[in-house]
Amino acid sequence: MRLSGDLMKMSGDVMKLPGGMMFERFSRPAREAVVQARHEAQTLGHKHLGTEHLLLALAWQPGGAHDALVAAGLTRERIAEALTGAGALGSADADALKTVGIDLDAVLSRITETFGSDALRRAMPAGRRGRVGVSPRVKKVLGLALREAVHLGSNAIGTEHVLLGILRDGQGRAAKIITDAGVSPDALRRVLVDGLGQAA
Amino acid sequence: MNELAAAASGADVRTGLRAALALRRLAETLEALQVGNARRQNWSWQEIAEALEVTKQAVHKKYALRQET
Repeated sequence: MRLSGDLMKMSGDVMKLPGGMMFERFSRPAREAVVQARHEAQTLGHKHLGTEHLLLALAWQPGGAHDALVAAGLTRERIAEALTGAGALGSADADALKTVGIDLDAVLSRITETFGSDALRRAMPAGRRGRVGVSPRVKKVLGLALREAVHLGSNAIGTEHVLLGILRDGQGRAAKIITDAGVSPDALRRVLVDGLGQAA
Repeated sequence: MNELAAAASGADVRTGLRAALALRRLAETLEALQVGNARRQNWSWQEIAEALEVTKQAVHKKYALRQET
């Protein structure tokens, strides 16, 4: 029941896409991934649903995009690591803190000793939980996913198309996480398109 | 500590500002962690607010809606 409520809310957001794009055109796993992306953003305390949350959600349930990501070494854990590192206290923060005499690694390892390894992720500095807005880039990516689906002759937008949308856009946090992990967007794209071809 | 003096005195403005941002993020992280810890140990919002030297409303507004996940 919770899911359908979220779907309604999400579809409200997504239907504001240019071209009158309908949430109905998403496959069930793709819809669930978009809903999951919202939960990811909320859990991290982020105010916007960005492409990075979408990527994290795509790596959640086995199937299309998930399998291609895992094959490329981009597991959910790896994406989460890249995301939380960049979102809160990243290497740029560590360098900056060094200039004022603070060893961030020492501080963080002390925290982990006391509160457990998951404590930092839960305590992420962020806005209050609440309404999570969909970023313009996510809307653009979902629009590109539709175009990919049409172009590839699919009758629904699958998780593969959403990931293809992220790659096509090539900007944003998700694309950066992918390239920072040393994954070639072109190679990932080929894996996705091949996988879709086999399924058809 | 020469680095500290240089950064804090604004010898390099960008570096100094970046350090301030990183300190704020670290402080926010520690605060959230400790507020959660205090709540688990049954501290009241009033007690937490006093320890942080902020109003009870401020600390409640900031953290009450956060759930442990």
